[in-house]
Amino acid sequence: MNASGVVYVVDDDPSFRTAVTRMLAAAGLSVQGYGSGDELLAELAGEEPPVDSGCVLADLCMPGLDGLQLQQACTDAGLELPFVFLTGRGDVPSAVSAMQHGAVDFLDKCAPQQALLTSLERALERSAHARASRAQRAQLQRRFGALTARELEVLEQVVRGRMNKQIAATLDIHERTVKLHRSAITTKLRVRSVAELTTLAREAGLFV
Amino acid sequence: MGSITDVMSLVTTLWSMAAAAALTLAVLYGVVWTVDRRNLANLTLCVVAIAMAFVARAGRVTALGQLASALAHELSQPLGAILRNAEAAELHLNRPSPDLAELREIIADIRKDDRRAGDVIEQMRALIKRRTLQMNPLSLNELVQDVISLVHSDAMARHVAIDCIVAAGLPLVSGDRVHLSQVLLNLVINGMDAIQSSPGSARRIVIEVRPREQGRVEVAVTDSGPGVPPEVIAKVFDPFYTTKSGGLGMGLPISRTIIEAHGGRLWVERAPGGRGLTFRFTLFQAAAAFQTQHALQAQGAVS
Repeated sequence: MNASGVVYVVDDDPSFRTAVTRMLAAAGLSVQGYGSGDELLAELAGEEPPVDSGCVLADLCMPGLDGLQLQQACTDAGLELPFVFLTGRGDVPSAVSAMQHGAVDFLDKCAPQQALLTSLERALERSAHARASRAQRAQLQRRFGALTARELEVLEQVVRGRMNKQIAATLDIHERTVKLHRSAITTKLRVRSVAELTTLAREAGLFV
Repeated sequence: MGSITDVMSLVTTLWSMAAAAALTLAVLYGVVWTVDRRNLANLTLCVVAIAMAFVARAGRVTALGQLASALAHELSQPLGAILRNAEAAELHLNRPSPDLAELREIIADIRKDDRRAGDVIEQMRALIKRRTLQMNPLSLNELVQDVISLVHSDAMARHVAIDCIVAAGLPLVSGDRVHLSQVLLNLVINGMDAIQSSPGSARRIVIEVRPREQGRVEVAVTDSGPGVPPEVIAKVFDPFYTTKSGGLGMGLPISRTIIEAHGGRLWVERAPGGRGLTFRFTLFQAAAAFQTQHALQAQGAVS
């Protein structure tokens, strides 16, 4: 199993929780168990740095916050954790709703071991992938952060495909100044072409 | 009908549980070093199948079919735990030097969950066993008072006022005291759950008993709750429909089955002049001979 990250198990039934936690730990996953959604939220809220990877394995039917409400509460708290739900009774409307809210899977409590492990592996992979793309975007945004406000204005015009002359007119500056800004931008961002610049800006989520 | 065969299928049910559990333990104790996971899944199927067969034989497919599903649901927790523990044990046993202390703990937990599953079956068995109605003339006034005293402390703790309006000179009805208490208790507790979110001053349950036409007596339980949308009202008597987390959705269908077995009706409507719900059921008054005796007793003429 190559996906990493903690599996947060939330189930109000202590003996089921212990058993599933035990099995997942024996299968080589790092696992933490919680008796309710509130317990999990309280724990994750206090984490520093904020939890940004892992997945939740939750019972759908619990007193207090049920599985779907917990999923919503995590989204509201900015915790991007994929969910795998467990249920004691097949419940189609809840399953549909859970999947629409981005649940990875929906399994019976007595589902085969391999099905459970595969679902969790997929959830952890999804989490790791999301984390990597967030990190990449953050890193790009830091690179763009080195630009001055004026350079960003020029960059936007460049990305939109406008010529130096047009940019100069729009921003009411000399064309030579535009050229200076452009060379500063390419140096700071370490790019060689306008095409590369455009791609990078799009990846950083700028000017969309 | 067929009480011996009924008992036999129950024995079979319990025995198959015990046998499958024993097998699981045997597996863990090292007789076989790989756990046959399918046994547990099959066990659930087996219990349900036997319960269903039992139901069909008893000729009460709907009522007991519900029990079979409830049984499967209640068993999924302990069976799921047994399965995961067995898998954990298997993973430990595959290691070069298995952690014996951990394995002992796992086995102890499997035993515990096995007992739990057994208890669930035992409870269901008790429920099925007491299905024959023992009809006796009884006073609804006393029944209502009994139920109120049962829920009294719970109502106090939840700040719910229970009002009781019983018409004077009410005839005795014919019914099974235990079953009817269960129905009334269920309706009152549902009512208390429904007003949980209301402000303290507005938490009120009204139980009203009055004679109706054609020898019927009607009991109405009204809550002062916020009410529920029509689509929820339409489903409250559906088996497994519940708005309570952890609820089984069995209370109202079972209550309806009990009242119908008495020849009466149980239905729901919006509370007159309120937003909550009123559940009403009717029963038949007992034979005239009992009524005379009851009336005399009420006057103190007969001790």
